[in-house]
Amino acid sequence: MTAASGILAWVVPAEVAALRRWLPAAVGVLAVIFGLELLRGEGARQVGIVLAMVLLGGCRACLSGSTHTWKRHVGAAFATASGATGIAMFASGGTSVYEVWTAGWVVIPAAVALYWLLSTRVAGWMAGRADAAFVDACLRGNRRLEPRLAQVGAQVLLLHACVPVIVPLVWIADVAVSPGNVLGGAIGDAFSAEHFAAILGSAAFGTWVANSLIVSTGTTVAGLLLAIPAGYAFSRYRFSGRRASMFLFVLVQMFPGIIILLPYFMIMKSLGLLNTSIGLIVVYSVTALPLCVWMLKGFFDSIPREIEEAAAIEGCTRLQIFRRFVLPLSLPAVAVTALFSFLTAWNEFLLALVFNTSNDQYTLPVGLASMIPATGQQWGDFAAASILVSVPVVILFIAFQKSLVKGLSAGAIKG
Amino acid sequence: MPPRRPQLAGCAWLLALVPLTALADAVPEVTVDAAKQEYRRIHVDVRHAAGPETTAYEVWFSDRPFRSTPDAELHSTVLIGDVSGLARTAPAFDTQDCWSGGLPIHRNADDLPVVARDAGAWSCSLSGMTPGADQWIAVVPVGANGRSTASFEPVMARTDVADERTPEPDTLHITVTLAAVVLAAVALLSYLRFRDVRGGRAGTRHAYVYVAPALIGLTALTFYPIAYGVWLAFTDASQSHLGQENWNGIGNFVTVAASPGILRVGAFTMIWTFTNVAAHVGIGLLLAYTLTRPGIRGSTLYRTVLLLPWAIPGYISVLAWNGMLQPDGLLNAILGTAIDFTATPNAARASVILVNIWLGIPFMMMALSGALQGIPTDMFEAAELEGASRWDQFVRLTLPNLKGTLVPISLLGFIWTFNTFNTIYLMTRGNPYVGFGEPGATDTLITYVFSVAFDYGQYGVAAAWSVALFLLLVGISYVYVKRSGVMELAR
Amino acid sequence: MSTVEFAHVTKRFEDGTTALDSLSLRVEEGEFLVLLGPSGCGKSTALRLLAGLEEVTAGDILIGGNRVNDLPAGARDLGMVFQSYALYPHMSVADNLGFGLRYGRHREAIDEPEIRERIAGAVDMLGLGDLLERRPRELSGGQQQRVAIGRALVRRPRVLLMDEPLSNLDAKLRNRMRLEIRRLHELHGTTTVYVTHDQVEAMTLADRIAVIDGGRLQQHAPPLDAYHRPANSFVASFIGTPPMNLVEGEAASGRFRSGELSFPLPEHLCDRTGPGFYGIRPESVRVREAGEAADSVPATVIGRENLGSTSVMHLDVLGHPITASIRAGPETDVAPGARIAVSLTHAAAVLLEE
Repeated sequence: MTAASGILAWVVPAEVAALRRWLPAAVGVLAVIFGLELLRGEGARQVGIVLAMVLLGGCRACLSGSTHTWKRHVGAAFATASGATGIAMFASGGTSVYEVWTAGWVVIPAAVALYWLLSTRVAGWMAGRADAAFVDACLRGNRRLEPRLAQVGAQVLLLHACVPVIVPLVWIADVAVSPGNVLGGAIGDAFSAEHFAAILGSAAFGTWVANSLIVSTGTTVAGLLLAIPAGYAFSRYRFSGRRASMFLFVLVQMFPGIIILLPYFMIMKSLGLLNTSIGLIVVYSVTALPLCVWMLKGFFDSIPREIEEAAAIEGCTRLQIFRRFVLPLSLPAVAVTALFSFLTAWNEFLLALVFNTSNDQYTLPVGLASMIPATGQQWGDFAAASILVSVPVVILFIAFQKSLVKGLSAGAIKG
Repeated sequence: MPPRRPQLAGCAWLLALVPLTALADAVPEVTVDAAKQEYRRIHVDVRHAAGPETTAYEVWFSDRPFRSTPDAELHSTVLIGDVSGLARTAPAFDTQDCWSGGLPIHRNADDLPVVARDAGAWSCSLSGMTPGADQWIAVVPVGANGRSTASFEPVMARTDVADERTPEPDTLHITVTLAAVVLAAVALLSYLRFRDVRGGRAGTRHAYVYVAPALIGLTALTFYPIAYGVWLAFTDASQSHLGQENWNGIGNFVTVAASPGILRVGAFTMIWTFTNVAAHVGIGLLLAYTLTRPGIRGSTLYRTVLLLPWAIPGYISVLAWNGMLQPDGLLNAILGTAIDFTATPNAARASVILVNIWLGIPFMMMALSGALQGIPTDMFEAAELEGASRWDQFVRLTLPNLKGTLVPISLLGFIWTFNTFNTIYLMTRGNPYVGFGEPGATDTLITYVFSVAFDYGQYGVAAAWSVALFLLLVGISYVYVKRSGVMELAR
Repeated sequence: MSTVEFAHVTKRFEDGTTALDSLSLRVEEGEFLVLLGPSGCGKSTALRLLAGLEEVTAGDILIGGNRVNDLPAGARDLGMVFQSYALYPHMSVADNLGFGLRYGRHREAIDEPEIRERIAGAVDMLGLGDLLERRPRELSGGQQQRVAIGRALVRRPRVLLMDEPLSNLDAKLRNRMRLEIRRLHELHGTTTVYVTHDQVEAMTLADRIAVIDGGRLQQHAPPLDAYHRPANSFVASFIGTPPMNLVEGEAASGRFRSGELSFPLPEHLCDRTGPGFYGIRPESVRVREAGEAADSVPATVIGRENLGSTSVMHLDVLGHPITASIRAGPETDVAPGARIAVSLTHAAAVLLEE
């Protein structure tokens, strides 16, 4: 190389680059663990965690600035001490999942740091070696290691992100199949279908499902009937007041729900629509309208006008064009919008809570929430009902996630 | 709030199972004081001569004459005992107002009424009676071995104070205005159409027919309610006189400004909103960036799993978290503790914020990964070639190019989080309790306004709150958009 | 400035396709090399391997005599002009030019005054004077192109890489930018590797052309050599518009035969024998009256395109499609279907083995 030493000043061994990122991350995780330890109130473990944070931080500090062999030795010493702390904590503590995980966050970063600090590549780099053979070996190692280390880092991050998502699901499934009305207990310690039987056999649950189905279906149909023509008009015609009305559709999404809630309540009361499915259908289809119109307008915009122009030249009327060409082409989009309306209505809580106060008009959200009052919560039954209600919705959502997410975020950002 | 039922009535059937043994003590004499009747209340005077075996008196009632206790419901229990050292205090709840010697009855440490064995007479105002219906009432002595078997004759009584129903509100004006609004919208659209057709833009005349249903629906059911809500803010509307609001000027706004705890709830709302948005955007960006890096194994699976908090109905997630944070819930099981996370103000605040962070990350993650994928990749190859580090590439290329998404989406997140109701309502209902009429420790402005409207029934004040919050939101959004220069970016 | 060398470089992608197959090539210091080939031939891959944006599967790449296979792209000191320009859309022209100086490998060695000076130099050289504060999307295609070149040159790279830089410009602008690029090269003398599928660009810009097809090097020669003495039938048909006529057949005893068609070989090819392709440029095909001379073969006119000064005739010569490019004149004014004669025997013809 023209200047091998110059290259190595700029290209850092992948191990060192990884440690520079990972050690602070480990210290951050340990800070969170320290918070949890404060909740648990175990003094010895708190001291251990703080010690590990300091030691790993010290190890990281040795990797900054200029390179010296003594720095590497100090860093290795820090890592060793941190590892010893973790092993001590592990040996003295229990073996619950939490405690093993905690010890892992002390021991593993320390072990990795120690292993790398003792490797010839890092040793050579910190000693300032710059001969061509070493530089070449170093660069070749980086090529090989970098993607792997990035992969490992990403996997650790994503796994940690997935745990808070998965664990509640496992827990709720466990509660649903545990006999009796219990929250605790080991996962999978006992099995009973009593809660599912109770829910499926309960008249109230049937009523809620029926109400939710009526309201959601009604909302979807009404919403589409309003949104499709409007979205089409906004996409295809340039009429006076177009910009103003499109702006109105955006503006509505800015209003806090609460400012509308009370007047809605009064209007529904005056129209005698409280405690009816129609009341909710009317309100839901209008509240979901702006986003639906924007989503559909976007989809219609993506259908080339040439198709319609060609059809018009062949003598089709506007309505024929819409029915024969535009609608079939935009069917997937309409389906996504329909799903969106349906899910909105299916999951809505606040308006249903305020409008439909009589038990026989509860929708699922209000019904399920009523199973968890301040006292006398029926956790087992609630868990079973939750699973029954969520599974179809989640499957629908996941199946259509790409288009839903695209439509939603496009609509939301434009709006 | 529903009217409170007599607290012990639910347990009546339990008492009926107690084996009956002889208790010879005499049944007290009961008279009804019709002059003292109140709404849903019957006033009874009791003259007793408690025998040595009697330890308490039970007041039973039914809407039919009854001869034995299983046919009736238990209303109250008055203990007999030593009253020295007991205070004559008003009860915490007014289900059971009793007097002896013209003063409030003595109460023991459990707040139960106690009358001296030799008092001779006491009286009670029994609440929760059906108005305008005959009721039979009897007082039965109870001893250590059970209830007296002596036959009793219940006395009949009724409260004639009519049920004070809220008058059906006169809501004709709402219906009329609604019709007028619809007509006005139709008229406006017809005029625009007429103008277009005359102006030579005949091709657009269908458009008005297409947009009419949506626009009329939006006007009638969104813009009109908003206007109506603004009007309500200047009236004294409340649950008890609906439809007969009177103009109240800025009175409600004065009430709003002088609300107890307004600063506390405002501060918590700001902490709630900023913490949530920062975490949603920050964690969402981190995950989106990691997931959109090329060659991450299992990224489709991760993406699906991480999407779940969005896919699962929000109210179910919140209620499930409510369960997990119980003292015997999952989180305590993992940590090996038994903390009631929603009992103390700060723990409850942290809990609701963490649960809401959990709920909101997937949306930001998905929106931002869409935006990240939209950034041209060749730019990064150019930067790579120029020798810019990963970090410089992220800070100087990725972030500036995300700005067009980041700014509107965090504004949207701000508005959504500010307006979030479900999480707090279903986790804590604003509790822990702080003081009467004050927002609870975890109340945000939105949940507080909800309770002002639907717990306290102060519609006018709640409407004033809504208007104030809306103006606040608009103000913040305006400043944010101006400052961030996103308008310039979107040119 | 440096030499560049590909030594048996092979690139296989993860899906199993081989983009480059043992490419060996040397670019001299200050040379302008054009990698020419149809789309998908591997020429862009070769450039990306050189740039360090892709990893080499086998073989070595050397810059200035040093193996750079493992060197990250940023450490190779190369400048690159992308087909899409890849300008930083949120930065002004000045910041685009200065990005690599401010955040690149040599950031510590270059101070702010020098950055300004270098930017000013690039701006003068490329005539971007009054555009410094504009954003890329406020510039025309040609201006963006200049900024991209400026950004690549301002860091004084050892080698300048250009990946189809002109393909997004309209034809007129393309001609102007072509001259500009050549002028800049003569000014700086930076070793340049230029990828294109346009043989006109290759002919006008290159010191030498490397024709690539199917991941293999077909010919590495100065442009005129490649034009006049193509190494094989691919190069022959790829370079030149209209392309060279190729007739597959066999040479024996001074004549070339392909089915019914038979004509005498030109003098310099007389002693060749064996199967192969007889190649003759359209402008070397001579059109005559029917049956005039010994080397004439009969031909039928299929169509004719008049380009003004020249005229392209599409002929059917005993079943072989032949194009002839001749000076426009009254003799070219023949109707389709007319029977004429052509001579394929010409001193510029070639006989290719494959």
